[in-house]
Amino acid sequence: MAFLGWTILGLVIAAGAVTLVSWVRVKQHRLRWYEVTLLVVGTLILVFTIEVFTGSLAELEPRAAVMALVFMGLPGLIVLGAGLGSVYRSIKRRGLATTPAVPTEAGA
Amino acid sequence: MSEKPRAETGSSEKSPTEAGSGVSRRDLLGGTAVLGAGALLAGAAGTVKGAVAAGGVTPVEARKNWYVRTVDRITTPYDLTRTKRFNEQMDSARRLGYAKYVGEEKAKEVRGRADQIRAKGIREEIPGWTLWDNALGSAGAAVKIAGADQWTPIAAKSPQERGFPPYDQPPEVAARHVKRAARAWGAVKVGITALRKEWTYDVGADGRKIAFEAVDQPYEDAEKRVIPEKVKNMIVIMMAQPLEGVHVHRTMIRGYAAGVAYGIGTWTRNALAEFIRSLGFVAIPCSNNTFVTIPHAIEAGMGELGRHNRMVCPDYGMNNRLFPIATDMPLAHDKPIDFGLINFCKTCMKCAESCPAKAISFEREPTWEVRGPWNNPGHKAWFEDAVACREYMMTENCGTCQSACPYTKNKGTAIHEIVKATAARTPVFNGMFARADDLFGYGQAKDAKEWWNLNLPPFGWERL
Repeated sequence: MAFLGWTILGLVIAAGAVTLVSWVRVKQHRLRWYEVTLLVVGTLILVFTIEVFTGSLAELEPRAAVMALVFMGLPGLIVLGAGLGSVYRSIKRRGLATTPAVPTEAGA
Repeated sequence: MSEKPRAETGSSEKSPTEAGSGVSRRDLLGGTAVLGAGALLAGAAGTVKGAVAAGGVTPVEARKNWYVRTVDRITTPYDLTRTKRFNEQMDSARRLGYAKYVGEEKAKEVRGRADQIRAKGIREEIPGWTLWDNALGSAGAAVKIAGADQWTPIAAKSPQERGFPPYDQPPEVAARHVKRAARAWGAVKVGITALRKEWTYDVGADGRKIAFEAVDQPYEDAEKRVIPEKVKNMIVIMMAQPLEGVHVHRTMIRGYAAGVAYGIGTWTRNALAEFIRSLGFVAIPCSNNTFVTIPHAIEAGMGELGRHNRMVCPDYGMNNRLFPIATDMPLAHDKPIDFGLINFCKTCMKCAESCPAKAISFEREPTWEVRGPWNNPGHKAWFEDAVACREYMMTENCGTCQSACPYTKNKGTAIHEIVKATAARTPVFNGMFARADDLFGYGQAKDAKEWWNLNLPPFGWERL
């Protein structure tokens, strides 16, 4: 992939990271170490998948490019999705815990 | 129970309603810093990768690849007391030796079949054998370089002959000069080692004896070609074939791929020989007719011996053509290398499985036992049936093994280096790598018709 492509990819990843951190901060959630690990590892796998995919196409090996999407891209998406899902579930759980319980007639 | 107002809890964090949806100054500066760093890193990575992908950055010495180790002795065990000087003309599976092994009738039949395949390809426009494929594959054969492979200077004059002091650089500097000159004149890789008489043919391809004598300059007559005893060093240069041509198995395009490497190799080795002679030394450039180049190349750290009993280079895999230049120039020698090939070949078997002649050994372990008189004993290898291989080479320009080898790869993606580097460190994943190579479709025959639509660089792959 050309210089410009990698730069744009870097900008997209950085923008995604900033967005996620901002959103997490707004939601008053502190990222756990395993969430950070999943997010970073998932992102790295996807970046590497893009490298192998574009490089294989440049090498005139289209089947290798597709196989890279399947055997590297899918696991990368799964790992990244697990990280994002964990963050989302944590925030959702905290939201439920801090929301005051609906008072019942007996407990008022 | 009511909650205390958030302000009284001492929390410094604003509530979502107080924070609103705006971006604070701190967030903006932090975000910009991250974005900038990310863009910088990505751009830097892209620049490096772009530079590598542009070519010319592959190190001239194979041992300079970061995952390759230098060792004191080549990874193929050998015993020179068991090696005899070979009769290239009569004992190899090429030339007259082929007829000796299969009989005149069979040799004639094979040559006739080669002509029929080409004729049929032209008449029926079989992809890879059409009229234009045939023209491509045979284009270089008639091109001759004046003075090619002569053992005396073509036009070079020594410094002394020109009235200058002799070249007297230390061997390490001289080796660098030779390697850079070789690369400048087209060599993909260069290695330097000692000339071994055991790895010099006793009789060359033209039937003349090859002798070593205490003379100042090489000479030849009707009976023999003479190498001066003082010629103690061997330079080996390596050319790579156009990879897209290599992958079009068993066609005239595959023949072109070999032809262009041999053609450029002829030019490069003779240019290097003239360079050496201009420094005042003897230079004897050869093709496959004088020396057994492969063991010299392996000793010179250019690769290891693979399952097909030929050299595998870490950069270019089996896609290599080697050319020797013997010289008396004092040169520092290279050390052999180890990148885990022997262990990989024990497991992989891809070349053996893909060989249409079934000429490559399927044994797991290499052996000292040769397969036939076309093999020279004295090293532990997977000896091949060179006669069976030769038939497919002559009729169909076969080089399928070169395409199938997992080490024969382009330089478009880093995953190849990661795999090679891992195999260099541990054999644990070798089987998985070999099977993944199949799964990813590497080494499969490519469409000969489609080759004519590709936009390839000059010489098909490597830039001269």
